[in-house]
Amino acid sequence: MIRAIPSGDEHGDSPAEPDAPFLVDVRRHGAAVVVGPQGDVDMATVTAVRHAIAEAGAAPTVVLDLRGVDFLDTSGLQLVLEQRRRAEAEGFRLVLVRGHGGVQRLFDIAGLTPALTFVDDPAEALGR
Amino acid sequence: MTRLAPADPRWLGLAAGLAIVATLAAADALLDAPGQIVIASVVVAPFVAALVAPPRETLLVGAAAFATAVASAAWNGNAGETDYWVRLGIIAAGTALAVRSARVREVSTELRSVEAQMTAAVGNLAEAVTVQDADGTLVYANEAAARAFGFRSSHELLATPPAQIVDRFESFTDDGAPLAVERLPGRRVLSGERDPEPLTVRAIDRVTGEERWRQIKASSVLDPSGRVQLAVNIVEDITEVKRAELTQRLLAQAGEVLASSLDYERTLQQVAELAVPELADWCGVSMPEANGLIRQVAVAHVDPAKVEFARSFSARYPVRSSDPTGAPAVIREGRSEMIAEIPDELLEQAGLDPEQLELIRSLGMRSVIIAPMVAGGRTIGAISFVTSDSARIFTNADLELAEELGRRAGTAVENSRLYTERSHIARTLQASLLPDELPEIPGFSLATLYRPAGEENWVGGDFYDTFEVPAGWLVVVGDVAGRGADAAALTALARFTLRTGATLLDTPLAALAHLNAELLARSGMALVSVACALVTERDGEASVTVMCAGHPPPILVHDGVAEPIGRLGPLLGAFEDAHWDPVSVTLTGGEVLTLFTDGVLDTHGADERFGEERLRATLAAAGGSPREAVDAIEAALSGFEVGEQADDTAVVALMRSHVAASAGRSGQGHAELSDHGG
Repeated sequence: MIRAIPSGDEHGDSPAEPDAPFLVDVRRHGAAVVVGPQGDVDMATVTAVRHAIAEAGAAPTVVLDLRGVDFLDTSGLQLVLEQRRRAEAEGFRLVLVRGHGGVQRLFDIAGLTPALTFVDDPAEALGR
Repeated sequence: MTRLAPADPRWLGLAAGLAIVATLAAADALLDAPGQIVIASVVVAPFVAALVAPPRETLLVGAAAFATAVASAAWNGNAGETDYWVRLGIIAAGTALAVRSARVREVSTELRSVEAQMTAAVGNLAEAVTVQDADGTLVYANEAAARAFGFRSSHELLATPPAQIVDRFESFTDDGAPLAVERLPGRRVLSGERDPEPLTVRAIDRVTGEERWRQIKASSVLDPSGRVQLAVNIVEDITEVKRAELTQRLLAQAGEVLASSLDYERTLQQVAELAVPELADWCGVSMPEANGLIRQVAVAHVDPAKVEFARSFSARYPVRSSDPTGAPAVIREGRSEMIAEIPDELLEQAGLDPEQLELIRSLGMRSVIIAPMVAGGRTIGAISFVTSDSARIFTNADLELAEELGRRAGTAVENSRLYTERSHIARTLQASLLPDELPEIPGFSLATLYRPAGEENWVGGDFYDTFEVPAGWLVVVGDVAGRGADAAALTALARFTLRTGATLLDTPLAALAHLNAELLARSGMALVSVACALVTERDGEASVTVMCAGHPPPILVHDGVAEPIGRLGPLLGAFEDAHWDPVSVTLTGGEVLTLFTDGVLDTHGADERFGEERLRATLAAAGGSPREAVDAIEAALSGFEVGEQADDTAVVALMRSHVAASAGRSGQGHAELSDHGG
């Protein structure tokens, strides 16, 4: 399922660069759901990712694939932490597929990297 | 020939002719004096025809028959014996003439009946129809035309000189320009144009003040040589259509204008300008002020000189909220007022000074509507419409439109006020989230930069603070996820929790842990990132200790080399078992430490974000003072940024300004920092 979200921003502070439309790629692989946002995950688009995860429904493994993410801000981090809390409360596995250097740097700065499970390829998450 | 109807007059002519022929034949057979009878019959025949044919044709028939009879008699005389059949032929010719005469009468009756029907039909048309002859004189007008031009009957209209008819109306074309008579389609037809465009005219009756919209079409009647003989004008009254169109357009445009900006004085002026000249000659908006006066916030007239006049007039003669009539009364009572025709006595009774009265009279006001501007059940002003030059008199339809405009303008003004108020609250709140002015840290100099993102109504989530703690001075730069009221509340919580925590709990690390626990105790997710620098000075040796909680590490510049200081620790509000490792650096003099929020790094450029490397390069190249460091960042961001600023930005730079001075600040230093660091 591909959900197209206009890159426009309800708060009027749309990014300066002419971004491609924001998409969230959601796929089911057996017992896992792989959610792959494409573009900037920020205040303007984080709700779309949140909805995509919620719509995907419960699964023993939820994979958040950050490879298509160009940029992540604190709202994106907040989303990841929310999912981590949910995973602990509901007993599913949350696995993140590493994004590019800038995205990973943000996790480092936020001091979250040690507390999250990162893999390089979704297959790693699905195989286990 | 067509079949004859039983009542057709031609039967009579034919019957008469046949009767004569029969009489003649009988007389010829019975009598021995045929010539006389023939002559008599020929003379009688036309008179029989005269019974059924109109006089003029009968006379012609008579003359022809008489001539025939004379010829017949002459022939008779010469020939002696007359041939029966030849005489019968002559009689038949006379009969035919009689029948012919009857036929002429019949056609003429038919024509007249058509003319009567046509006249009756045109006379009853709802459209006004007039006919002008070649020199433009009105030769025909139906009753609708008479009514349309304000006359009791078409006779009265036809008897009135054309100039007088024209002068009775103030006429404009569709574009608002005064009507030039040569543009009238009738005139154009008479000047030889074949198919002139219909013309839409707005005419205001100078006598009754009534406004009518007309669409005028004209066509020509040519004579056999092809010259224009007549111009037939059809004047359709399209007032209802035009009024409905005007109302809709005005409301739609006003809606657009009112929604276009939050500067309500400007939008009200635009709305007033929309209303002239089609709805009114003047339009003005007044609103009560706190000082008890009513201010004219907008005024419009097609003539700028008159707008100027109105402005200076209202400056010279201020209106008080307590004034008994006019806009103050409408604002007080919330009810609109319409005076269809302003009598002069009304002006005289208004208690104006003579000069003021004269000025008002000079405007020639004719009709006025003052409608309340209503918002949330409250009247916040009045919108006035006045006619003067156009001599138009307002109707109930105008009143309804004026009231609707008043309601829409009221709502727009209220929205804009609420917005202004909200941004004021936001600005006030935002200002409260930052220290009024950073206190001076003895022996150190500081510089700050704060750039809130986007519109002013968004309360930013970035903050900075500086305050004294037991170990020295703490400089804090922080960022709260999100924006708006929630972020503002969280920002306030973070800033003051850190402040009290660091003051009371002895160590900054304890303060961080305290804030972390506070944030985790909140129902929703509340994340705060913070970079702290504890500045201490003991025995003339200054040092700075940096802690990063989910925050980009501050940058220390020394001798043109920029490097990040601090160990990365988790965001506040993320984990219960979080801890942070402080990093201390001795300041030997000349180092500038810059703390900043991620708004700096995330600033959008044409292709990428500003990022840590650019920031380090910027700081490395900056001059050696905190002010220069901050200014360099601001300049670099301004030069780099493309589009609107997306995130708040806060920067604090500090430097040891001199080595000596207040060396006496508590002797504890950073030994304590490890207490909680675990």
